[in-house]
Amino acid sequence: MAASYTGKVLTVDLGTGKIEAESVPDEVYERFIGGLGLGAWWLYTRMPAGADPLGSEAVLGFVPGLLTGSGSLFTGRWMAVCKSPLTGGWGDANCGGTLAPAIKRCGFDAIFVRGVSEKPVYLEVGNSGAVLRDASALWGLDAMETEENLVAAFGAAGGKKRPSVAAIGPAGESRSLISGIVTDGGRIAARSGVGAVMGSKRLKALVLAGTKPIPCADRAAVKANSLAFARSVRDFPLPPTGLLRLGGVLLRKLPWNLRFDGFLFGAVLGRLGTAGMNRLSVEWGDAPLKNWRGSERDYPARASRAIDPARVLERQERAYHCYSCPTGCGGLCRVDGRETHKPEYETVLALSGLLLCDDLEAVFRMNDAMNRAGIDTISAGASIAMAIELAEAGVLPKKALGDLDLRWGSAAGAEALLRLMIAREGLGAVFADGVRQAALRLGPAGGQAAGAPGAAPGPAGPAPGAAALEAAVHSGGQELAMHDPRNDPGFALHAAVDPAPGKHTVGCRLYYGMFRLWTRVPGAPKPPLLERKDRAFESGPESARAAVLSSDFISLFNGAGLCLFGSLYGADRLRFFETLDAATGWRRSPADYLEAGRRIQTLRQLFSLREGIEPKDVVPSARALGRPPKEAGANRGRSVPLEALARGYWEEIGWPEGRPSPATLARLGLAELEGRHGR
Amino acid sequence: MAARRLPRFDHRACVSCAACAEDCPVSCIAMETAPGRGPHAKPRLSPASACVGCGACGRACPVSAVAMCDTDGEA
Repeated sequence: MAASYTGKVLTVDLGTGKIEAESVPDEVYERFIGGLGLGAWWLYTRMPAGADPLGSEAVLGFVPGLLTGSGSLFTGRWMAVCKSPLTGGWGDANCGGTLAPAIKRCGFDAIFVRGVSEKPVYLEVGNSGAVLRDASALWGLDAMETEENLVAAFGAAGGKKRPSVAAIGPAGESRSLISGIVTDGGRIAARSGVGAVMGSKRLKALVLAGTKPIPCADRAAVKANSLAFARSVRDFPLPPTGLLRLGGVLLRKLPWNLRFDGFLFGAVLGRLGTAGMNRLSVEWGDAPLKNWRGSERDYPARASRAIDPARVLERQERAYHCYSCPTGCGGLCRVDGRETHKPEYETVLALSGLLLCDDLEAVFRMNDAMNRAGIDTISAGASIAMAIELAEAGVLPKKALGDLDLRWGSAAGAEALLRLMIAREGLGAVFADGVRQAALRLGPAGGQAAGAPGAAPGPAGPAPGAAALEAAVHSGGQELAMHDPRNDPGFALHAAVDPAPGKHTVGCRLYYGMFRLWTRVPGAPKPPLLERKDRAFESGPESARAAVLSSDFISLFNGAGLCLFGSLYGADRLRFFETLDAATGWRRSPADYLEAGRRIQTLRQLFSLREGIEPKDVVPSARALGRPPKEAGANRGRSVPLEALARGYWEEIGWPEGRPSPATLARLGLAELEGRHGR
Repeated sequence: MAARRLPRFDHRACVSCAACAEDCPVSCIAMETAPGRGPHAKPRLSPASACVGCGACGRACPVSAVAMCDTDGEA
């Protein structure tokens, strides 16, 4: 029986036009699983150290997962992997939709692209092979127009397979460091600047139309696991959406944190989508407000009413399910008469609470504009928030502001700045590459950014200096997502220690409680149902072990190609480890699988170290850590003991000071690879 | 009318994951909602005449909600 991988990857050199199918040894899958792990192995072994992330030596990978197409649930995720031009270290971005199985139906476990094309091209892959085609006529189109054009050109009618398309928009073309790669009419692999890497190669799109069967060792056993999970899902009656806000108030006022049940979270997602968390998060203290300086008092119920889940759902025409997802948290709606995806929680909060705006229609328009341009809504929202804070403080010169109405609560001002960012015009050019580049351009060291892609000179006038640096909220160069570490310090820890910093999808106290790893892994801590809130801020062996298990598990999950939301139902309920065995024919313990996750995580860290990242320097911005602590509202008086938490994580995972020790590398079988470190 | 193998979808067991539609090699499965049946779409042959009876949809379905059935040529 064949395991659930093809054993082949497609490699494309855009400089020479050479396209090859290369074999990957079984041992690589056994050690690195696939997906993110295969991407990490390929980039570490094939990409020279110190390569310019936007240069010809840089490799951009598109990876589905080991379980994609095996009959398992939640396996509609793919990842873009690269050296991040945003952070300078390991970069990856995760996305749903239909691209993951499309890659595998072409007969490949990954597509890796290097080189730079002389002219814009797109890559078309089908059952009979792959070809590069001229994309000059598509250059300049937005991502959704590009997809529509390519599907029409492919002629997906009359019994032909409709292809899956991944494309960049104008933001990627102009190498915006906060640009992403768009699929399925507006889903986006948004983080790490992956769109800029694709744009730097003049690769406008992938068109994938293969129809090959996807292998699986024991499909019947995989499906039996999927069916057992689907039958076990318990539904929960949900209160009217307005009461969810009160749930957030209750969570804020309780002296304990609760261990949540993934079935409850799944019910919220399936019924309301991620928007179900909008107002609850505002009240709880999870959502950062007013560029991380505000509290729920700055964004009271009369404002957050605008982003009530029911208001978002009013615009939804039907739910959207990524491939093989039973939850269906996405939704399709119309903006200006055109079908698009509704804004997710991250987007809504980045364009409402973070800016103190209460205009949901503006959020829908900006979300659509960013999906079309191919730009990360988290990073863009953070950049707009930074601009507003500086404008309100009077440190942006009037000449640079022009007639922009940049003030808290002004959706019109936010929209206008976003348009300028996409076009890289005026003040928009300063903020088009995220907050760190904006601070460099605005501050006394503005000249240092002159060599950055698409760099714009700082606006004429007095240098904002320290104010710009302080208002730029990020970790290692990547803007923080809409989850406040002062409410759950795990978000700060993983935003700091993960090789792709600034992300919210690796771990936290809340996620760990839902992973339910203690049901499968000996020694995994089981959090109590109720825990005093201050315990979450204490470092110790148990919290360090939970944090490391979280990153092991998520690395493994990303190797397998599953959605984070699937993990929140619990590894046992999902029968995740059993499904890995069934799909591959392997017989491995959960602990053994998690060690493969740690191998992936450690190789990503080796990649970042090789590129010169100093782990101790990757620290989320002070205000997100509560330094100084807030004086009012949720999270008041709280500071995140990041140094102690990071030290505990590094000790537990075997990376002293963030650097994997020789013993760790030997145990994970990475010593021979690490020999390349620093070359 | 010649007999044909066509998929039959069990909408009660279906979890709306669209794996059947995505894996269909001729894109003849549409995911559609129906009035009063909630926002989660269910599969339907569209058009049935395009179906080649290959069974890829049944193979893809994670919860065995697709059965291939012999028909008299009508979906």
